[in-house]
Amino acid sequence: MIELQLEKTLTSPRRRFQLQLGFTCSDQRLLVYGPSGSGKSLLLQLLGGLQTPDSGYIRLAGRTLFDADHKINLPARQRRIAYLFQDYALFPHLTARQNIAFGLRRGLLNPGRNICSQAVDQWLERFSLQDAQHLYPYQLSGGQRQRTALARALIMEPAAVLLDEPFSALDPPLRQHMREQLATLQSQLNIPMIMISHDPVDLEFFAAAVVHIENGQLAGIDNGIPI
Amino acid sequence: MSSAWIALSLSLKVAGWATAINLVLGVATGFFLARTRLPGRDLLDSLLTLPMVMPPTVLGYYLLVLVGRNSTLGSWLYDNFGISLIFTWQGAVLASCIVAFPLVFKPARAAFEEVSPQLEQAGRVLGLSELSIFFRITLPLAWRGILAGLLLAFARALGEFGATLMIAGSIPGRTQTLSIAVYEAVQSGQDSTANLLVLITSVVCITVLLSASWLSRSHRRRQA
Repeated sequence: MIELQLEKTLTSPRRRFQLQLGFTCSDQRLLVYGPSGSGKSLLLQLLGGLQTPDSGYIRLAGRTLFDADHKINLPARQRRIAYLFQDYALFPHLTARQNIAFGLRRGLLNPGRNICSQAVDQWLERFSLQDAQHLYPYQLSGGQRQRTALARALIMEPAAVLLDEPFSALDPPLRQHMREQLATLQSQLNIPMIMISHDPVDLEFFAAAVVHIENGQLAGIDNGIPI
Repeated sequence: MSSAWIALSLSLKVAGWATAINLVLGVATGFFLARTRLPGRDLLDSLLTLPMVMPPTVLGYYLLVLVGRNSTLGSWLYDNFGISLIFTWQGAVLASCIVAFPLVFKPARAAFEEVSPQLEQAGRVLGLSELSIFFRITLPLAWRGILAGLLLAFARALGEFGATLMIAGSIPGRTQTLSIAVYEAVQSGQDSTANLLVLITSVVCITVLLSASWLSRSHRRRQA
């Protein structure tokens, strides 16, 4: 499902951080686990194409996304990867419905408030967002926001899903509910999901394979092979 | 009497053009300054702010030196295109444009810097081109801040006096804008004309300022 080996060094005046990882894993549910500042988010950004590795390669869901030796680097917009940001990154100037329809529409104009789309209607129904579809992100509850962001990403029929600490912004009861919903969703869609987390509950509940990262290095791997 | 309305329409024409040109140049400059990591960007920002600080007459003098008939640029424009900016309303547009420029690019820069880079990244992973991201995410989110700056620039261009007088002069019906007409009317003792002109200018300026503050208020509400 995923095979990668990469190196990325970030330098700022105050600190220098190096991520150096290599592993392969065939499970559909991969959890990247580690304390904050360990490089988890950077890894996700590298997978999503929001940052470029210095060297190495990334193969995900049967496609090569990056390969320094062969000068391959698919831009983020061609990777067909759903990316759920930690604080969801919903577009504040658009309603929930417009947010979900956002990627379906090409060109320079945003989808209209009443854009007709069966796919949008299906995702609204699937995530029980029909009543909230004309609200703006600041009017939505935490759970609705997350479901809107998920629908916006999944409507693009991605080849894989990346989730950046998806439950950290939710209160505990809702957190458990969303965990279950996400696990169900993964088995229905049957596409690879890679989640980063520092919550031990996610270890038990979500993961089939776990990659432990500490300080930019691989500290351990369950159900995978280090490279 | 009707000369007051001619001056008003000329002023609106000059201020309108100056604002339209600044919409493109000021927004582009603001976006560039917000995004570039060039080391000299703060110096560039200060240099571009100069027109706001310098006396308009000094600015007008510089413009005369730069585009006057005897200057390199001015004679080139005249020889190749037959364009002369001195004593024309286009010259007044140039003067207003430069004086009002900082009022557009500065708020535009601030507005662009407020847009979270993560929202643009979200657009990227959803498959959008950089151009689409600018027009569908960045610009709509920065738009109200830009608009408030444009309104102020319009008001500033409407009130422009010094630089305009230096470069375009005061030809009634051709380059005599409202603010210059007020000066001429007072100088020649036409008090009733002066009163009318002053009243018109005040009403236009107050309208613009009220719109600007209303826009920035509803901008804050949307962000909350």
